[in-house]
Amino acid sequence: MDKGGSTASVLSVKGFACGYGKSAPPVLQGIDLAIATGETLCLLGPNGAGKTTLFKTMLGFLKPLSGIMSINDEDTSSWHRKRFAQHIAYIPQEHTPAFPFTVLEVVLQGRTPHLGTLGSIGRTDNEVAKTALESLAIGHLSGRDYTTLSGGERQMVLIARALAQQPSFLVMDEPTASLDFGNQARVLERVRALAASGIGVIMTTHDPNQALLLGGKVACMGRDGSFVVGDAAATVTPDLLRSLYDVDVIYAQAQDAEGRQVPICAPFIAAWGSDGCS
Amino acid sequence: MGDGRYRSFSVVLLLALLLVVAVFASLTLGRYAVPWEELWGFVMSGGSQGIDETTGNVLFHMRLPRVAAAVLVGASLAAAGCAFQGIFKNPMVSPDLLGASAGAGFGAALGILLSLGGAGVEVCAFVAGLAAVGISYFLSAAIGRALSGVLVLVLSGMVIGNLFQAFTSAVKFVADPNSQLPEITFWLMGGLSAVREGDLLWLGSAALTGGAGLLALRWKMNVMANGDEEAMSLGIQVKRVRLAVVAFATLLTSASVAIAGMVGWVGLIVPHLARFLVGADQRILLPTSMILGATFLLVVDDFCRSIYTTEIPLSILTSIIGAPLFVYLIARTRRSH
Repeated sequence: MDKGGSTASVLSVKGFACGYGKSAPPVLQGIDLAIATGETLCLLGPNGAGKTTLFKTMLGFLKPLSGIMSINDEDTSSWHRKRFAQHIAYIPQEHTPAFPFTVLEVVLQGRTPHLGTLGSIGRTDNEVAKTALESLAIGHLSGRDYTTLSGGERQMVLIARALAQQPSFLVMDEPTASLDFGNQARVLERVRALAASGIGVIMTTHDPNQALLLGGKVACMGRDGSFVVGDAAATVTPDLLRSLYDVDVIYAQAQDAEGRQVPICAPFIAAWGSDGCS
Repeated sequence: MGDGRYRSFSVVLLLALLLVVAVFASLTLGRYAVPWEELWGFVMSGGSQGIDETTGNVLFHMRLPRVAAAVLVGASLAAAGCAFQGIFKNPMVSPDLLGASAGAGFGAALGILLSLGGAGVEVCAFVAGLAAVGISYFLSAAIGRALSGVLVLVLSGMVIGNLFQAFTSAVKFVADPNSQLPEITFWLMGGLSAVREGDLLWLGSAALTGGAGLLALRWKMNVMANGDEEAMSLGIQVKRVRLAVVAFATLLTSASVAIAGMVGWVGLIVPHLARFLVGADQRILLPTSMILGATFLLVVDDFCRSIYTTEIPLSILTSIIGAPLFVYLIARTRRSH
C-alpha cells in the first residue's frame, strides 16, 4: 500500500456528472481534474455553482451519476469505506459535536480506518495522534474539552485528526470560513506545509486571494456549468473573476516580505449612487 | 494523557465496588431480614458455612433473582440509552426512541388480554418490542432513501411508538375492567415483584448478547457521533453500524421491558450521570453507564419494596428521582460550557 510521502499518487476524476439522484437534473457535468500528492487544488466558484456537490461526490457521500474517480488508475468506486478512508481524509467546515470529547479523543478518531475489526486503540495509535498534535504545535490542548475551543483551535484539531488518518489526499471544506485574518493565514500556511509533506490537498474557498497565495492548481466552477482547471496565477485573472462572480475586480501585483510578486485581488465596490441607481 | 484515563478508571473501579456493596445490602434488605453477618459468613466460607433453610429459601429463590433482575435491567436500559444517545448525536434521547417500550407495552397488554400467563406475557412483550423497532427501521428505509437517514428514522420511531400506544389503549378499552384492566395498568407501571428464577436465564442471555454487542461497537459509536458524512470519511460503514447498534439496543430494551414493565428515565439519565463522571468517550462511558444503571435500579427497587407495606411501582420512583436529577445535570452541563 503506497502512502503519501514515499511514492507519488495521483487522484483523478474523469467525466464526472454529479447530482442528487437519477430523477433530478445533474448539478454538474463533464468534470475532469487531477491532483497529485504534494499538490494543492483550490476549488473556486460562486454560491450555488456546485462546489459542495462535487466534493461530496469525490468523498463518496454521493454516487456520481456518471464518470469515475481513480487513485493511481484504480477505480475507487469498488473500494470499501475503510480503504477509501486510508487514502482520503475529510475536514468538514462546521463541526459541532454533541458530546464533550477531549481533543485527544477527537484526534484518535482519525485512526479509525487503521484499526482492526474490534477497533481497539493501541499504543501506536496514541503515538500517532500525539505526534499529529505536536506537529501542529497544539499538544498542550490534548486534554481539553473540544467543544470549548475557539474556531481556530478547532480547525487545527481537525487537521490533526486528518493527519492521524495518514491519508494521501485531504479534502477541506472552506477551512478558513469563520476564522479571523490571522488564523486564516495560519491555516493556509498549514495547508502549504501539508502539501510539502507529500499530501495532496483539495480545498474550497470563497476568497480567490487564497488560491493566488497558495499557488498550485485551481478549479473554477461557474454557475453556468463552466469548469476551468489550471495554475492559480495563470487562471485566476480579472476576466475570469468578473465572469465567475459577476462583479468588477481590483487586481494588483504586490511584493511580499521575501521580495516575490504576489497578485492580489478584491471586488470593486461602486460608490452609492454612481451606478445610476439613485 | 495519563491523568484523565487514570481518573476515569478509578471512578469505574469505585462504582463497581459500590455496586457490589449495593448487591450485598439488597440481599439483606426486606421484610424477612437476613442478618448481614450470616450472609457474609456464608459468602466468605464459599457456601460451606450453612444458613438455615428459611433464610436460604428467601435468599436464593426470592431475593437473589430479584436483585439479579434489577442489576440486569438497570445495566441494559442504561447501555441502550447510552448507545442511542451516541449514534443519534443527541443527549436527550432515551432507549424507547424507536418505539421499543411502546411495542413491548402493547405486547404485554395483549398477552394479559389473551390470558397467556406470566411467561406468555413476557414473550409477547419482548416480541412486540422488537417488532415495533423493526417496523420503524424498515419504514424509514422505505421512505427515506434520499433523505437524511437519522431524521427519518427518528420520525418513523415517533409514529410507530404513538401507534403502538394507541393499540395499548385499544386493548385496555376492551379488557375486562375488573381483572385484566388493573393488571395491565400495574404491569405498565413497572416492577420486579413478579420476577422468577426462570426469567433470569433469558433476560441474562439477552443482556449478555446486547451488552457484548454494544461494547464491541463502542469505538465506532464515538465516530458516529460526528454525523454520517464525517463517520463515512473516517471509514465507518454508517448504515451497517447503525443497524447493529439499533438491533443490540433493542434487544436490551425489549428484554428489560418484558421483565420489568415500563421503567422510565433510567436510559435517559444514567448515561448523563456517567458522562458527567468520566467524559464522552464510549470506550469508558458505556461500561460506566452499565455499572451505574445497575446500581441505580437496584437501589430504587430496594426503596420500592421496603418504603411501604405494599410495593410501589418502579416507574413512579424512577421518575420522582430521575426528573429533578436530570434538571440538575442539565444545569451543571450548561454552566460548564
